[in-house]
Amino acid sequence: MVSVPTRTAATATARVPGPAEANTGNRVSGRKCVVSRRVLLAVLPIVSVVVVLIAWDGAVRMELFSNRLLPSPAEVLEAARQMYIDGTLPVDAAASFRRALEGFLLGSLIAVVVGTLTGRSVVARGLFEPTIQVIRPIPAIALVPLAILWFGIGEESKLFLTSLGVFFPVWVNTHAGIVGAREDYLRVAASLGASKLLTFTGVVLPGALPFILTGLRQGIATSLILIVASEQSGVTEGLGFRLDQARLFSQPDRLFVCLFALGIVGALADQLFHLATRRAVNWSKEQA
Amino acid sequence: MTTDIDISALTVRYRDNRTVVNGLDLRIESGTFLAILGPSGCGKSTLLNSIAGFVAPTGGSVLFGGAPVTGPGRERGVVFQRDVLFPWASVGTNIGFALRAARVSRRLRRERIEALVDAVGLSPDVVGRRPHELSGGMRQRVGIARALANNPRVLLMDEPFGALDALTRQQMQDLVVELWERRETTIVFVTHDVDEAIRIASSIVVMNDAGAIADHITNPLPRPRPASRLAEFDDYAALRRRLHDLLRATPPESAIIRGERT
Repeated sequence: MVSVPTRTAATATARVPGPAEANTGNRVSGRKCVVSRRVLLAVLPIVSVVVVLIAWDGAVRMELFSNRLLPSPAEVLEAARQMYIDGTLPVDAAASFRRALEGFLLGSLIAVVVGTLTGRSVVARGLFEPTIQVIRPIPAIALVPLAILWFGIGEESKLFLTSLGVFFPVWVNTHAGIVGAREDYLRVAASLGASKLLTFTGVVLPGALPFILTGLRQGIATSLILIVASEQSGVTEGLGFRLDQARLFSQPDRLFVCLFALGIVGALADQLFHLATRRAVNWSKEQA
Repeated sequence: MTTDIDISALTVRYRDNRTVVNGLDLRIESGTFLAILGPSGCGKSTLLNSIAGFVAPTGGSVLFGGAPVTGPGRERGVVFQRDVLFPWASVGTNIGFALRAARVSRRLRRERIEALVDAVGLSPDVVGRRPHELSGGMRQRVGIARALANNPRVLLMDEPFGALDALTRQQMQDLVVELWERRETTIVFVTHDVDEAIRIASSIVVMNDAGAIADHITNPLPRPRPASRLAEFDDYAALRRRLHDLLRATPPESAIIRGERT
């Protein structure tokens, strides 16, 4: 007698997961994949910093460089602690940040207005663009002597230099964004009978926003670079001043503290700006 | 019946000396659903852009309601080939832009947006969504709602469903016909699809490659014209053949001499 397995038994032995089960499996493995990717992305920056610190410490221990040129990470940390306790580090960082912010605000405000004018008006473009294009290639640092000659060694020369340096990247990007307003969007606005003001605020400006914000981010970096250069004279507080002092008195540990402080202030300012503005330009990524 | 659009001896020549529309005469009565049919590059879109006021005529004239068209205006709504919704704005803001342009108060705007979204067959929850979250058909519906927001006398549609799949395209055709019947708006619809023109239009103009009108035909098919039963209409086959013959009679693109088309 031939025994034929029943349908139930056959199903039990050759059981194929149904679509629902398969989906669940995929979802779980997909979630695991996303989680491990997130963990990896969070850990990688820490790993890179640790590796740099170990390499740096190793170089100091093996005396590859003189201790007068390259202090150990521990010495820099100790100098930072001292500077924090005696109040110089927070005061210097705040002073530099304030100067950079003032220059950034003034420079970017003028740049956005001028960029909008040169982007929208042929007359304004003819009026401003040749002058801007001639001044733009001059490195802002080269204008330090001129700034001191015109405004003295006080705060005004620093504001002039920083705002001038911020102006160019913001202007270039604002101009490009405004000029590049899409023709079909402008046609939509025109066919709906939108006024010039509404076309500008509702179509041109939102379309140019990703460009403007890119220019502003570049402006933040520029303002910090220039504030260090301009703080080398005429002030008694600021990270640029403190850097110069550390160089004069051969204090490499303090010099490194100032460099790290500048890096941290710059990165924080950039990331805060990015976080605050990214929602406004998410659409450009979604569209891409 | 009043005349909405009166085009006489319209010639449009581009900067590279290409004549795209050549001495074209056309009169569009109020309430017509006109399809402009023709091969690619025959000047259909240029003709539509001239009516919209985006392109200035090189010769001849375009009159709208008896007055020359000198630029775009909200009495001539436009639905573009691609849905050109503002990607930074929600559906509500996109439609609301048209109402802001017409200085409709904020309070009324909200009501009007909801009514327009409903009129184009979308659910109210799309108002807060952004264009990238919608399908092609939904985006084109929003584009139509925005174009209709200010109750234009004429709706100009430039191959609006060209990028949609067959089923969505049929649904959109039904929507446009329904809106036309309900609102009594004049519609000028550019297409290169013979069946689309037969299905939706009350009148069909065929353009030839010389940028002129080859023929003007009144659509004899009664409404409604369901896509699946189009072939069952008595006059369908003859009309389709005639339109295809007219399109075939136009010289191939390669035979066109650069510069003046003859």
